[in-house]
Amino acid sequence: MPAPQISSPGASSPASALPYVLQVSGVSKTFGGLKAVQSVSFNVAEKEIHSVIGPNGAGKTTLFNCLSGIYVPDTGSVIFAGKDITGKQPHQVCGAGLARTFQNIRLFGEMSALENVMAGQSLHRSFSPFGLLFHTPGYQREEKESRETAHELLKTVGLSHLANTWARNLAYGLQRRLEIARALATRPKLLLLDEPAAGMNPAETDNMIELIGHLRDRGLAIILIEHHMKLVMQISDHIMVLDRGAKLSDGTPEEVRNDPKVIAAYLGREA
Amino acid sequence: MEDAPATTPSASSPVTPAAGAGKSWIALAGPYVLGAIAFLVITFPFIWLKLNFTSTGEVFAQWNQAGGIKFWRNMGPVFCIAAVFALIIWIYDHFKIQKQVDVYWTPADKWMQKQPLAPFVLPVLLIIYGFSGQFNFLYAPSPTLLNQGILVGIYMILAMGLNIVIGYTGLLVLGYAGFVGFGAFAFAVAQKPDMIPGLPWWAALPVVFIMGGLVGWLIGLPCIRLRGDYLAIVTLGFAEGFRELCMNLQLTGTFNGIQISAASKLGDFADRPWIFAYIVVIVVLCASAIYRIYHSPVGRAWIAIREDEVAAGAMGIPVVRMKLLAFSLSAAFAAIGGLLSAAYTGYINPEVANFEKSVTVLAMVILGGLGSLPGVLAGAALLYLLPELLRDYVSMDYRLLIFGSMMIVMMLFRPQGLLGTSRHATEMKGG
Repeated sequence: MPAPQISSPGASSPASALPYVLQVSGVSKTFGGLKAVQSVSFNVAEKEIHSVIGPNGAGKTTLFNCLSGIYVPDTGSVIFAGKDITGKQPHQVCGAGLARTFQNIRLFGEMSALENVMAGQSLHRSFSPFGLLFHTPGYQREEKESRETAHELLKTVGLSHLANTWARNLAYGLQRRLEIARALATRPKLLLLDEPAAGMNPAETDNMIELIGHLRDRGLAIILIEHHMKLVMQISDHIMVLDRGAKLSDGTPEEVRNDPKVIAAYLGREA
Repeated sequence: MEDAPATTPSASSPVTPAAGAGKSWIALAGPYVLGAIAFLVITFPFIWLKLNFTSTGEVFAQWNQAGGIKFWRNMGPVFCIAAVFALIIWIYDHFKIQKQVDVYWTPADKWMQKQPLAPFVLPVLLIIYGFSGQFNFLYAPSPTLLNQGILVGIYMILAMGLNIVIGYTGLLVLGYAGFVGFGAFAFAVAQKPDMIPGLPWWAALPVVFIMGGLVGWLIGLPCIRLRGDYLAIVTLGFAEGFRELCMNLQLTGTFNGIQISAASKLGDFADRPWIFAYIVVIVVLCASAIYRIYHSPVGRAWIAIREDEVAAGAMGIPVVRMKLLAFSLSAAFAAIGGLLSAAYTGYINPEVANFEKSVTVLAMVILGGLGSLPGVLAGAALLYLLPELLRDYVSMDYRLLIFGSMMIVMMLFRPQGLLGTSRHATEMKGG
């Protein structure tokens, strides 16, 4: 593996110059009396790494679930690539080009790494009964292409030697990488990464930083939830801080780092 | 388990061959001895005692030696079955059959994937073979044996169908017999003299397949969003409701059922070799179709849903639609299984849709190995044939007892089922 060095974050092109790929306005989600997310609004530009940080229970994962269709937000709207995807089914959201990974890894355990990625390609496969029963040339070509693409994706995340291993039997860090490969298989424009470096040692974290930078270079926009401050500060173009469901602060890593409200939320206010 | 580390080099499993040897026999056998004692104690009143009711309404228990001796004499074959199972599993594991199968299976599998018409080769060969008059040799085995072969074939179709929904997609369905009953009655009603007299069974087969699928779709539509136990109960309710409906409708002949006319039957006694051949062809066709669907994006989507529904949805798999597809496909196979059994026996009554049938097929699937096509076929053959072959020795009252004890033993020792192994991972070099 080459040294985990990516383009320096400060030098990245100004996000405002690019068109927004995701526009979230006033999204709220309440569970009983708990306001998990309170009218959060933000925009994500193309090729931008947008981090969402905040203390535990701040509503970061709930926000992700609202964006990816697992929860329907109570209020607000999610506009993705010009289309309103608020309250759409998860597979429709995914079809629009928004893929995600999960905080608690959710791979298809009894499928090989390759099959996991191929399952992620379902959106782009035809399900014609005639083709798959009689293995028409079109079907065979599609199946072959699908496998080749899946192998390439596994190579991207560095798993090509483990293509036939069951996902369940992969090491923890590799499972996180496989989740990313599977999400990439859906050919997204925007990737939601929910704590991709959770529980990783420093070397694995560096590899993850490198991988995320590589994904951005491929033209993906990324929203990142992460507690690992080194990772967040190193690669983010933009950081949003959530606390108790509401947006606390917003800006470049430098701005957020120096925001007294953020310091107070993380470290407590001076008495 | 005796993994025989002495004889086999066993390069792949350095896990714990010696761990079992270190334990004392008491620690190993203790739980089973305790279980056996518990069994003896719990069953004691049912086996060795008999309740007597006097005319004055008093109840007293009486020592019932004959009953007890009869029970244990009947248990002999049960132990034999257990021994057969143990032997099969031991051979399977000891001779590393799975590995050997994999070695030969992988090239064959790749070849199968490449040949567009591969599933049709065997049926066509069988048909040619049949027309050349060579089926005469099948007259040699007794008609009873052919009868059993035919019924095993029908159960195999049912088990494969149920496997789609339980084994592949991971939805628990307890009312499978409802769909079997639907197929049987759709055919039986259609061939009545005042409907379509002389309807041949082979013409009805594709129609009933599609109708079964549609009914599965309609039943699934409202309840597929339910999970686990709830879906099981809803389907169970459907099966029971269907049975009651058939019991009370004039159209379905109430509890008398419907006689299948000679023209619509699979054939009579003398045609059994032919019927057997038809069934073999249909089983092979069904197995090939299911095999191909399983090894396609559809099959991958089903397994993905079984493994993690939320993640499957987030990866762009239309969860509800794929579940409905599995549900209706399994109902379609159930329906043709029902049609074939009606057309074979020549008579149908609402009891085809009873709960015991659902449980029998479920037991075949679980015992054979959830999600494993060969396993399910073996399960169907074994569970149907064992009680049949033991018919002379065991009273059928003990059939459910055999089921129950086999299930318990299997779940304890081999939860993945008889031939249920690791799923065969997609093999692919380069890319």
